[in-house]
This record gives sequence, C-alpha cells and structure tokens, in this order.
Amino acid sequence: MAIEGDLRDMSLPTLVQLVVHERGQARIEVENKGNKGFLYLAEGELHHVELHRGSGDAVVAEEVVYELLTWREGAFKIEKDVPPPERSVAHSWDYLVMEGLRQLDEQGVVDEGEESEESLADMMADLSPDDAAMLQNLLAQHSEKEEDEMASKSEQLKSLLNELVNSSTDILGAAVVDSDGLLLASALSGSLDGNRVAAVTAGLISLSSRSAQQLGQGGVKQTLIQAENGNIIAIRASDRASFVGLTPVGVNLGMAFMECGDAAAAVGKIL
Amino acid sequence: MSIDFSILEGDVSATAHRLERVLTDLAKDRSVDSVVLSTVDGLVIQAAPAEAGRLAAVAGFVTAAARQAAVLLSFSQVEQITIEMERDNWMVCQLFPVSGTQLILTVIFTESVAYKRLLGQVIRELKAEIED
Repeated sequence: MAIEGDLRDMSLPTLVQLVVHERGQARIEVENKGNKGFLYLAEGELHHVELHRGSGDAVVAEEVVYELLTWREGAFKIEKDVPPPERSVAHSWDYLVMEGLRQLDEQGVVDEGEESEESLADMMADLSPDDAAMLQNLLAQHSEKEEDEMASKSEQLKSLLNELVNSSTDILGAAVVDSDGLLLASALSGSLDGNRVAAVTAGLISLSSRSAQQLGQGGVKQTLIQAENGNIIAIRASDRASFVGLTPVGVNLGMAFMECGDAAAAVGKIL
Repeated sequence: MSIDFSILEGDVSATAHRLERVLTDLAKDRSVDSVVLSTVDGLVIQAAPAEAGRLAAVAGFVTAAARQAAVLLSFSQVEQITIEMERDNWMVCQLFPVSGTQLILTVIFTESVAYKRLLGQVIRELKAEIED
C-alpha cells in the first residue's frame, strides 16, 4: 500500500526521516512541475536517487538530492518494500541534507533561474516546528563535527612538524600554510614568527606559480631559495596548502629535500 | 625586449658578442632550454635564444620576492632560487655580483641535472668577459 500526500504538508526531509526510522525498504516518489524524483531507501540509508526532468532521461547522481530538497510543493508517494535498483549514493542522508542546505545558503537562492530567493533562515521558517528542530539539530551536529575534524587535523599537522624538526638535523623549522597566507601549523624556533613565515612563503609560492604560468609551465611543484644564512624549501602539499621547511646553510640539500618531500606528502594526506 | 648594457665597459658591442657566445654555448647543452643574463630589475643583458625577454622579467620578479622573504626571515642575501615547475622543467636563478652590481643568470633546464658546477663555470666566464 502506498502513502500519498502533498509536499506542503510533509517535506522531503521528514518523509525520508520516517522511512529511515523504520529501517525498511521503500521508494519515495516526489513530483514537482512535471519533474519527478525517486529516492530508494534500505536499512535506514539512502541507496539510490533519480531525477526525471519532464520526459527526459533519468539523472542518477547523489547531487540530485540538493535539487529535490528545494521542492516545497507537489505530490509525494511512499511505496514500501521496493528494493533499490543499485547503490548509487555514497554519503549519508544527514550529510546530503546538510550539504544541500549549506549550498542553498551560500547561493542565497533556492532554485537558480527561478524567482524565489530564500536564505536558509527563510527556509527554516517555512518548515514545521518539528522539521525545523530536526534540521537545527542536524546543523549543530554537522558544525560540531567540522570543528572537531579541523581541530584533529591541526593537532596531526603540529605533531608531524614537531616530529620532523626534532628528528632532523637538517630542518630548523617547518610550517604548513594555505594559499591565502594563513598559518595552519608550525614548528619554529623562538626567533621566527609563524604568521610572518606563513605570509612570506604564501606570497612567494603565489609569485612562483604566476611566474611558471607566465612561462607556460603550469604550476609550481617546489621552490628552493638559497640565501646567505639559510634555505627556504616550499613544496605544494595539496591544492590549497604548502609545506615550508627552513634549513641552515651547509646542509645536505638532497637529504633536506627528501625529508621535506616526505613531510609534504604526509601533510597532503592529513588535509 | 629591453637590453641593459650599462654595466658593460669598454667595447660594449664586443663584450655583448662574447657574452652571447658564452650563453649560446650553455644553451647547446641538451638539458638547457633557454638562458638569460639580466639585471635584478629584470632587464635583459644577453639571452639565448634571443627572445628570452619574458624569462628575464620573470626572473626579476621572482628574485625580488625571494629577497624580501629572505630579509623577513633574517636569512640575508639570496644566492640562488630553484623552482620545479609542473611540466618537469626547472628554473634556476643564480645571483652573482659583477663590478658592484648584482646580476641574475637564469636557466630553464628540461630535466633534473647537477647544475651547480655547470653554472659556476659559466658565471666565471661571464664575469671574466664583463670585467675584462
């Protein structure tokens, strides 16, 4: 037996939450302006999602959820014991809802190309008190999780840099900086200020990259500056962050490069 | 391309030709793509191939940033900058003084090679040609 209704009475997050709670198999069909969405759930998780625009081919991608979340009106139908045709969704439902809301909030629009413009706050105001409370709870959990993850990454980076500087005779200090010049972590001797190192090296890396682009050489993998009183080694660790190692003069640069390269790879894995 | 011969003394034309020969010889090395001798302001003194003006400008640009970084980190004078680029080419900017002026020898290597001795030899030749 199918349960049918109107999305104005029961939103998609609430419908999914109901099915997730029961942990059974079900297909939720939602319809809005001639478009149809199908969400297949099993064992308390979203397994598969499809979007059919008019009479066009089905779009199968978990990002489809973000669009379905913007549908405030239209019909819904829940059919129990319908198995998912495949597993096409990797993330949890909570994650997809959070990510969908975050994207809506960032864009400041609910549906691109349409007239309606609603912020997250407006969207929350439209929900029933129970739905709003549930979403607020999920948002708070998501925010806490993100903060915990950042704190954990920062600790891991600090630990990695301290271990490198303490165990190496070639590396005087090390830091991880993002492309905006923000210091993510550092292990530097007392006379060196981490924020200064971050700002200086981020600027240098940015200029090196622009220079490589000017020469038609793409980006920069690593930069070495040999100065009278020390060397600066900067190695790209990820799309948005670089590892910086400082060495005294007269060190074995090959060894220092190897140690810095290993550290940059480890930083990339953490980030 | 801006050519700055102001540091050259005596027979400027003859010196320029001798510098060109030194750089052309270096550019014949199979690991070298292009080479330019320039001032720290990015003005070309001599290059091989001749159209390496953009390389001189970039070298001046990078050197200025590296010098600023070295000063802020109390590392004093920059001697060499090496950049490994995405397409597996290396840009090496070697700074050296001649007659009280800092010059930059910039070389684009197409592979990772031991270039220290090679650049040292070329710089000795360049200094000799300029100071003669």
